[in-house]
Amino acid sequence: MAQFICNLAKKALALMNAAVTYSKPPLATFWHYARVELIPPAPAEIPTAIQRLKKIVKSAPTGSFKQLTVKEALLNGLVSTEVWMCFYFSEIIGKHGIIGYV
Amino acid sequence: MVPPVQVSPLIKLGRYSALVLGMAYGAKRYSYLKPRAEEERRAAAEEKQRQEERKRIERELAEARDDSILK
Repeated sequence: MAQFICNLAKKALALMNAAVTYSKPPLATFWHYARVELIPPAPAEIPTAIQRLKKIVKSAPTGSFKQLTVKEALLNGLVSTEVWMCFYFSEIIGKHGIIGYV
Repeated sequence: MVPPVQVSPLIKLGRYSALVLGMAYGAKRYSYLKPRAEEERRAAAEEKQRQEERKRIERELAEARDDSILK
C-alpha cells in the first residue's frame, strides 16, 4: 500500500515535469508576443491615444471620414468589434457566469 | 518568427478600459439582479407548493366522490 502511493507520487511528479517541459516553447512564444502586444498603455502613451481619438471624432463633422478606403473602413470595424468584445468578456467575469446573470 | 506588432495606444487604451468597464458593469448588474431573482424563485416555489396542495385536495375529493358501495 505504501509502495503503491510512493510509486503514484513518483509517476505524478514525472508527468508534471514532462507537462512543464512540453509546454515551455509555446509559452515562450506567447510571452514573446504578449510582452509587446498585450500590455496596458503606458501613462506616456495616453495623450497620444487621446489625440488620435480627437482626430477621429473631428473627422465626422468635416466629412473627411469619406476619404477612407473600404479596406481601411473594414479594418477599423473589425478592430472596434474586437475592443467591444473585450467588454463582453469582462462582463462575463463580473457577473460570475458565462450565460445569463443569476 | 514574425516580429510582434506595435499596437496603437488608442487600441490599447480602448481594450483595457473596455475590460474595466465591463467588469464594473457586470458586477453592478449582478448585485442588482440577485435579490430580485431570489425573490422570484421564492415566489415560484410558494406558488408551486400551493398548486400541489390544491391538486392533493382535488384528488382526495375525487376519491371520496368515487367511493360508493355500488362498485
